[in-house]
Amino acid sequence: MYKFAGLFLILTVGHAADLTVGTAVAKSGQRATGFIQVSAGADAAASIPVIVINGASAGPKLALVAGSHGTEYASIVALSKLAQSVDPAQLKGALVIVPLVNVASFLQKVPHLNPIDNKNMNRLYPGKPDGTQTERTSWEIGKQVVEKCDYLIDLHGGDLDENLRRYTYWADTGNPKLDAPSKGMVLAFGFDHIVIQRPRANAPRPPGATSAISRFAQDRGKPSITAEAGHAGTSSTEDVDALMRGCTNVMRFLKMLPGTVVPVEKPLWIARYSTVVSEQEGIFYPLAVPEEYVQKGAKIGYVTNYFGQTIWDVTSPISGVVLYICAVPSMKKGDSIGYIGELADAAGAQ
Amino acid sequence: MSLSLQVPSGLSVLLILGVAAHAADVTVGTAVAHSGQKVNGFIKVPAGVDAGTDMPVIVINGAKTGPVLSLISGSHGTEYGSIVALPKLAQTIDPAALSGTVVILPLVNVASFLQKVPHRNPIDNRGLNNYPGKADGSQSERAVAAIYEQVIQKSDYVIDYHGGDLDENILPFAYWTKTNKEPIDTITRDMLLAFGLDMIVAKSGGGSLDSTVISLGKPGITVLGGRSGTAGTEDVQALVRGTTNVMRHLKMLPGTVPVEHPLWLAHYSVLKGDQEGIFYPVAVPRAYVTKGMTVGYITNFFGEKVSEITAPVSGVLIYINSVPSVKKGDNLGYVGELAEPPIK
Repeated sequence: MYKFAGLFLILTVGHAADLTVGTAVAKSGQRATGFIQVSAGADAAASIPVIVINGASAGPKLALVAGSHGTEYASIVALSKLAQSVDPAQLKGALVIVPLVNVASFLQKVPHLNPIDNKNMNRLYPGKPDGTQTERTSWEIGKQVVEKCDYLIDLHGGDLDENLRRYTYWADTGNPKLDAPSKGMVLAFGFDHIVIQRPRANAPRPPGATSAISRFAQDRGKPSITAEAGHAGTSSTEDVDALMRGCTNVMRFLKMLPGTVVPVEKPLWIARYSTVVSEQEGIFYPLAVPEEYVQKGAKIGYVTNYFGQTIWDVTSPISGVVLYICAVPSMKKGDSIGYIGELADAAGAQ
Repeated sequence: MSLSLQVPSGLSVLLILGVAAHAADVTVGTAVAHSGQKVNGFIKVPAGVDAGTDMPVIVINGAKTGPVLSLISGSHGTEYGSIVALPKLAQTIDPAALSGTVVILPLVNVASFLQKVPHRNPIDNRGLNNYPGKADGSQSERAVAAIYEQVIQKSDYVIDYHGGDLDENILPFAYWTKTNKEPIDTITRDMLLAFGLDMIVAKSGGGSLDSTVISLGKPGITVLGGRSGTAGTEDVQALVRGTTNVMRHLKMLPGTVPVEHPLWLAHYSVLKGDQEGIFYPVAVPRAYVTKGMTVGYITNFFGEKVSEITAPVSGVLIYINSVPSVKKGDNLGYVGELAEPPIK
């Protein structure tokens, strides 16, 4: 057996080795599907679908992750379509595609949270092997996806109750080994609104602090970006295509696929954003649209009570662009109404 | 006077007093409205070098005295939002509650509307907003001259209504024609604030209706709602609500006007098509664009990209072309630069 294996290795010189993620085992030049099994623990088990596309020739490993919010549909649809469209024979390196991390959220149509334990599936990395389902899932994704990859794109969008157009996040970590490739990735992705994250601003973090998957990957030296498209329960062709095209362009940028990339030349850089939080319960009416420029103090919506009387005018705390705005009438105290992004030009940050 | 018999005696007295001080009959075209009446008619433009045209007019002569406000729409006959809004508004105004007179021209460019030709009057291929017009010119010029004589000259205030035409994508906004003279700039500014559209673009002069009105010393503003062949409820309501609020502001109707905080823009730049072909927008109206940012592109009919349309200045996209058709020299959008609000 040993001798045989040695012979096999000699025959496959120049090819990537087998790649195993969960139950999916893809030999070089193959596409394999399977599940990342999260065993039952404090609560129920979960099986998270994964597609591994192991390219015919060697190259980097790119992880594409969606559906940690299981009703951000455009990103989920985009990754499942992309999984079918990439030809392993053309691919250098490997793709690990996780189209739907939060299966219970998707099936039960519960936005933002995993309904099994009511936790946010993209805030608790590195997770815990002995925690609740969200924590165990994060732990498994961390071990089996993030640790095995060189680069990562986390895909999101406007959730069931959020109206947004398209933007990406780029982390300015201060580490040029991360920031140069991730900037190349985000420009190659091609969305023309880019929000700059500054993780240094809240460093050092307390021990045991948890994070989103992108920051978890960055902390492990893996360049990663986040992309947002789709809104309010829809998965329009335009949004799905934009996400698929973005991922394909990043693969080209990383030399995983043939073809040239035209990076976005003049994106709108957003230096930071302010969250608008509701002070009232009632019926919300938006008065602004995603990407709209609003001035500080501008009315971007209002809340009425259930008798139809206006009880609160929602105004913008800063001048900037609307990154997203609440898409539904339901509003309670403390809910996020939207993000207003401050122009990097104006902030002198870019 | 049968109305006064149906109301409590105290109000009858008021009505009688109102009648005593009532406005005179108002005549516009074939519409003759006594005080307290709403009357429909036509402004007749007789045939001349080309065909004649009849422009619909609604005259609402309030039971009480007050200013004459004229509302003019449809000089671009496929800017449907306002063409739908003004007849709806006309139905909602009660002449008994009105102080002063409202003269409504919901559709000035009838041929453009009927033939679905954007931007111009298909009868003479001219725009229908070059004031003061010519009594012996082609149809557009004669129509404009008739409006100038029969409506503008008799008005105290004028609102000109537009929108995104068949090929233009906008969100509702208003133009403020600034003269740098007082008190007229303050009066028009306050009318715009009362109208309540949340983006206002300052401009200077030109041959537009509002600047013509202002040159006669009368306040005039321009408002836009609706886009790309649609008359969406939200856009129509914004125009109806805004107009009602201006009437309240001018004390023609009872009620208060909420204070709004619009976005003020100035010095807009025009995006031009530099190639013939198929246009693809990549930015939306109201988006902030930085200088050099791509707002759209043009391909040839083989699908190859031939031109990138970029923002010449940093600012807010006021409108963007919404259809694939583009030829050299076509307008593809406006980018307005941010301006300081002209009010504390």
